[in-house]
Amino acid sequence: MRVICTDDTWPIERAQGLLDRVGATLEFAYEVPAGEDIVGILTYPGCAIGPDMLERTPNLKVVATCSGGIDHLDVAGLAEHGVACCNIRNFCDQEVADHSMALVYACLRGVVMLDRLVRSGTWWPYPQPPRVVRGARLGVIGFGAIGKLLVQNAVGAGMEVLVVSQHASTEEITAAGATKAALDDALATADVICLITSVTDATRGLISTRELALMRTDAYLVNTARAALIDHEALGRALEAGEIAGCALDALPVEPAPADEPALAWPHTIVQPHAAFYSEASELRSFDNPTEDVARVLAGEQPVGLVQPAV
Amino acid sequence: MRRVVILDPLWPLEESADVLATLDVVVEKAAAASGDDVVAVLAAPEQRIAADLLEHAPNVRLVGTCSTGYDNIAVAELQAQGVTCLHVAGYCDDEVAEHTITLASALLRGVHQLDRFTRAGGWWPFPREPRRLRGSRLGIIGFGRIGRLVAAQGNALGMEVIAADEFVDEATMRVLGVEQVDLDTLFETSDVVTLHAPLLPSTRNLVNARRLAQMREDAYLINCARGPLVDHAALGDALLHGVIAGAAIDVYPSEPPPADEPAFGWPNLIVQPHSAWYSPAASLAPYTRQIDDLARFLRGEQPDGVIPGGS
Repeated sequence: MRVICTDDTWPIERAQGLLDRVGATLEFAYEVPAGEDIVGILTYPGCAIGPDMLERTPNLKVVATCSGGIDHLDVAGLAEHGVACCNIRNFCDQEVADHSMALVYACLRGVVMLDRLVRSGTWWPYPQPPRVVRGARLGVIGFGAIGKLLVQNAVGAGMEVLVVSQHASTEEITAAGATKAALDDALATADVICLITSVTDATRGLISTRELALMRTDAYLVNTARAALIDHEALGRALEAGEIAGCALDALPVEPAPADEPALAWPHTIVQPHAAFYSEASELRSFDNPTEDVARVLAGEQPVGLVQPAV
Repeated sequence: MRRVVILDPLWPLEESADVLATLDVVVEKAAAASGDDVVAVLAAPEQRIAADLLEHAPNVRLVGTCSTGYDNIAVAELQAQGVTCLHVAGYCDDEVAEHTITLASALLRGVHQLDRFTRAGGWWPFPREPRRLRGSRLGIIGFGRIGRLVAAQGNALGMEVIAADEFVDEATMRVLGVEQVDLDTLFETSDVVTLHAPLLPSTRNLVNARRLAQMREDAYLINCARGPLVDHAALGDALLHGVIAGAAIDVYPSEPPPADEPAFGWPNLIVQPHSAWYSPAASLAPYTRQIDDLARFLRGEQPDGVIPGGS
C-alpha cells in the first residue's frame, strides 16, 4: 500500500511513523502518479483533487488535507467512488483568531503603513491617522470556532462587535458579548470587517462591488479565511478609488503569490503569506491530524476529520 | 504687553482662539524665548526648556510641555527659581496602550515581517515563526495609568501579564490580574518586554546591553515611552547579533530621526513616527488643554497639569 503526499512541506519521516501501524509506505510527489497500490493522498489547498483521480488510482480510499478549507476537494464526487475526504478542524483556531486580531489592531492603529512612512523619510503628517480601538465597531462574518475566539479577543479589547451568521442564534451571539446583525448593516457601519467563514456556494464572492460600496470610506477589510470570499478585482478598484481605507489579506487568489499579484500594488494593503494558522504547535497538528486520519481509514476505523458530502 | 512664547511652530493656536481672546497677553510663536516681557513659555516634546531660561527671560513664571513626559524641561531647576511647570497627562492613555498591544501582537504574529517577506517574493517557510498571543508572557515596566491599560489589554488577549514598578505594591497589581516581579525576572522570562516608565536620570538607558542579554533569544522589546530609556546602540547590536528576536520603537534618541538613522538598517525592527499617542480625538487635546491651563494660570487659578515638586 502506498500513500502519496503532494505537499513538499510535509514532515515525511514523522508522517511515515504514523502510517507504520497500517503498513503503508509514504512517498512525496507533486503529481499523484498512477498506481493500483495507491490508497491514500495527503494534500493541501493548492492541489485540487476530484473523482478523475480514480482513473489513475482506482483503489484510492482516502484524501486528507492539512487545512480546514476543503474547497479544493470534490468531496461529493469522491464520495461516489467510496473515497473518504478528511480535513482538519480546530488545529489552529486560536492562532487564526490571534492573527485576525493582530491585523484588526494593525489596520486601526496604522502600524504597517506608519512603518513604511518612517522608512520613506516622512515623520508627519500621517496619511491615515491611527484610530482608537476601544469602541470601534468590528463586523465578524462567520461565527464558527475561530469566529467565536475572535469575538472574545475583540470584546476584550473594548470593541463593539457585530456578528453576521446564518447559523448562530441571537442568544448565542449575545452571550458572547456581541450583537447579531445582517450583512448589509455590518458592512455599512463597521470600522473593520473581518471574514472568518468557509467558502461555499453561498459565500463565494461574498464581498464584491456592491458590498464594498456599502462599507464606510474609512473602513478596513481583513480576510484571514479564503480568497474566494472576495471579488479581488472589485477590491482592487475600491482601494484605488479610496472607497475603503485599506485591507489586510492572509489569503490570495493564487498561493504562493506570484510576483505580478495585483494586491502587492494596492494602496493601504497588508499582505500575509497565509500565516494566520501558524504556530509551532499548530503546524505539527496540521500534518499529524490528517496523517492519523489516513491511517484510521486504512485500518477500518472512523477518521476524526471526515467531511460529509453535502446532500 | 506681556508675551507668551510658543516654541512649537506647529502648535494649532486656532483651536484655542476663544480662550486666547480672553487673555490680556500676546501669544507668539518663536524659536527661542527672550525679553523682560515674556511671562510664559510652552513647548512640544521636541523642544527643550533649559535651566538658564530666566537668564534670557527673567520674568517667566510658567513653562509647559504639551506632552505627558516632561524630560524636555529642566523641571527641578526651574521650579527652584519659582517657575510653575506644566504637562498634559491622561489625554492619550488608551491610544498608547492600544498602540503598544498592537505592536505586541504584530511582533508575536510577525505581521510586519511577513508583509515585507511576501512583497520580497517569499511565501514559505516563514523567516520567523508566528506565536500565539494567548499564553504569551507580557512584561510591563512601569505600572502607571498606561501600564495598567496595557495590562488590561494583554489580559483580554489571554496573555500572562507580569510587571515591575518599584512604586506600586504587589496587591495593586494582583487585583488587576498582574503578577509583580523584579526586573531580572521580567527581562529573563517575558515573550514581550514593554516600557511605560517616565524618562528620569534613574531610568535613562534602563534597557542596556546587560538587560538585552538577559532577554530570551525569541523575545521582543517595545518602546512607546521615551527614546533614551533604551541604549539605542546596544539595541542595534542585539538585533544585528540575534540576541533578541525583534523590537518595535515609536521613539528615538532624537526626533524626527535623521535620514541616516542606523535603526532603519536593523533587522526585525518595526519603526513608528512617535504615533502611539495619536488619534483624531487625542491630536488636539494636549494643545487645547495646555492653553486652558495657561489661561487658568494667568487668571490666578490653579492649572490642572502642574508637575509636582517645587514650593
